[in-house]
Amino acid sequence: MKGFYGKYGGRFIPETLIPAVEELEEAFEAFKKDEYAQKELDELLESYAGRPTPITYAKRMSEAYGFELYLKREDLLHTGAHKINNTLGQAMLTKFMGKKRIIAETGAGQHGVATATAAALLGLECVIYMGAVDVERQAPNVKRMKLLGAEVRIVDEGSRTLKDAINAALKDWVTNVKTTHYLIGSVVGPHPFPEVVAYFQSVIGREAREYFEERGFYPDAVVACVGGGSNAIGIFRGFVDLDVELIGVEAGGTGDDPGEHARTLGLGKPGILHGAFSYLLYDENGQVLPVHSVSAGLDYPGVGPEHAYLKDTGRVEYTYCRDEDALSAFMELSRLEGIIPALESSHALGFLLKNRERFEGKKVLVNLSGRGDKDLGIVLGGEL
Amino acid sequence: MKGLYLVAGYPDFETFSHAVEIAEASGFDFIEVGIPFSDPVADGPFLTKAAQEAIKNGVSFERALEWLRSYKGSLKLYVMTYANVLWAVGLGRASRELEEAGVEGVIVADLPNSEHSFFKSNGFLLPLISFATPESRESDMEMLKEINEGFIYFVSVRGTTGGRFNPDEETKEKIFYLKNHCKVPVVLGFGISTKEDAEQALQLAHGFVIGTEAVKRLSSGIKDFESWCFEVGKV
Repeated sequence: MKGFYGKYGGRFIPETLIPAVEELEEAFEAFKKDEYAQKELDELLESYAGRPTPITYAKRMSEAYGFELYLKREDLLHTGAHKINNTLGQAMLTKFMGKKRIIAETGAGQHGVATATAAALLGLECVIYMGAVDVERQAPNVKRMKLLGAEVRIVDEGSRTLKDAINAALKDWVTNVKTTHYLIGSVVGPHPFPEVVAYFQSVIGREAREYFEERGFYPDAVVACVGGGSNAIGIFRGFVDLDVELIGVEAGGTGDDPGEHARTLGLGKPGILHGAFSYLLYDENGQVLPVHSVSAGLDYPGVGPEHAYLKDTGRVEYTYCRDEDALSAFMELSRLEGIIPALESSHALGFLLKNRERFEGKKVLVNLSGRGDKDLGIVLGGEL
Repeated sequence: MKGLYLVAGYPDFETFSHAVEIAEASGFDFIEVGIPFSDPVADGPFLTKAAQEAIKNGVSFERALEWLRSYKGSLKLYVMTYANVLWAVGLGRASRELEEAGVEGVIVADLPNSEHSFFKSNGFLLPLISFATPESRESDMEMLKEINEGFIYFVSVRGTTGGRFNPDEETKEKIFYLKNHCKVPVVLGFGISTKEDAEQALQLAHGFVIGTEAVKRLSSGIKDFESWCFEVGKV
């Protein structure tokens, strides 16, 4: 069915927004056929964002752990994470639709910074919603967004994290739908957002696949962290038709009780939130459960509908990494390779290090989706 | 068709039941019983807060159902909630239980007309109320003309609940068109709070429903609610 991945997806949003998502769908279809627009985006990705990103063979880490570790270096992109692939694309769609204002949610602040950056570059008004808890723990990114000319609105409702920032952005959108595009940062939300974001992020997988094809082999496994799931979809799409293990790593937090983790695919069940039917963490009355992760970007009770589909079909294995294992991976990569990873990406690494026997002698590609400068306060600040 | 929206069990079930009696005595025709959801994206700050308090006080689908079953008054009953609340119960079971409790139809704030089929194909058989909005296009309105159950809920403002009722000319034209072409009544919601709003709504459409203002009045005391209710219910 259109707008669904298997049985997951759909458009579970107030009626007022339906014309806007249909307008986006039309703009997206037109964009995909417009060679000139594609060229313009490719040009921006290359000369502005810094694509293609390299793949680094992590030699010392590989020697220490007994596998062959390759890192897709999205951390080297302008603004420090894969988020810019999507924000440049959607900002172009915004102009295409004749809208002048963009709004976005942000958890870790990486999507907020990438949105504010694209807005500055293309001359759009920009408002970012961010939960009060995240404003506190990702303070450097708040300053960056303001510097880039965006207005940061602090959300003090609910759990005051990413979920509530999305609620606030949806409420803004329903009020200002005529002038405003909601630039969603992950493969979540109503159709066509999961597909739009996946399309713009699939450049990661395309480049990675080319790298291995040039060398005449493929990795045995591709590992990525999953919050909403945009960096994971981006890299998985390059390998989904190959005999390559795909592994998505959710935030295991501190334990498996409600409120201790963000293992949506691992411990949730199908439900409806933020526009899509997908896996969700909720109680017996349908109320969304609190979640926890040391990483603000993974601290979310939902997940993109394509991941729900990939879980059910068994094509992707979804697993988890606890806070402490992510933190040690953060330190380990910094010391052994001179690369400070984002806490989000550290979950993919943490899973790998924790399960080193399973990957012994294997070639593993990890999507290093972002850099960790924003996380120094959490890691060194004695919060854990 | 004059309707009131109240959050089930808010501020408590005794006050809520009393408020429903007052609504009936003051001339309202139907009541929308809100079953609260943790993440109500169509609601403004006041109803969001009320929903959170109600959830904290243990209000759930089951508790609301209990009240609906026990209701002996003459107001028509509708339920207003969000998709996941019904999904969690099971759409088939939710539909059956609500129908047996005498509920005429269900308004699901995050279920647009085009997704009704998702609910229906998963066993939800009670009438789902269709929406019109200031953003509705000609093609949307053509489809609404074919609706033959419940009513058309015209969300009269762009925004969340608790905004201000002030439909622009284009919106008024859409309301007028639907009023003259639909098989079922057109009811205006969102932003209506005063007697004057209610009067204007009745001139534009077949009816109205008041939510935020009703819940606000009730939270400030049953006496305040009662005098306000008699004022707007008599239009």
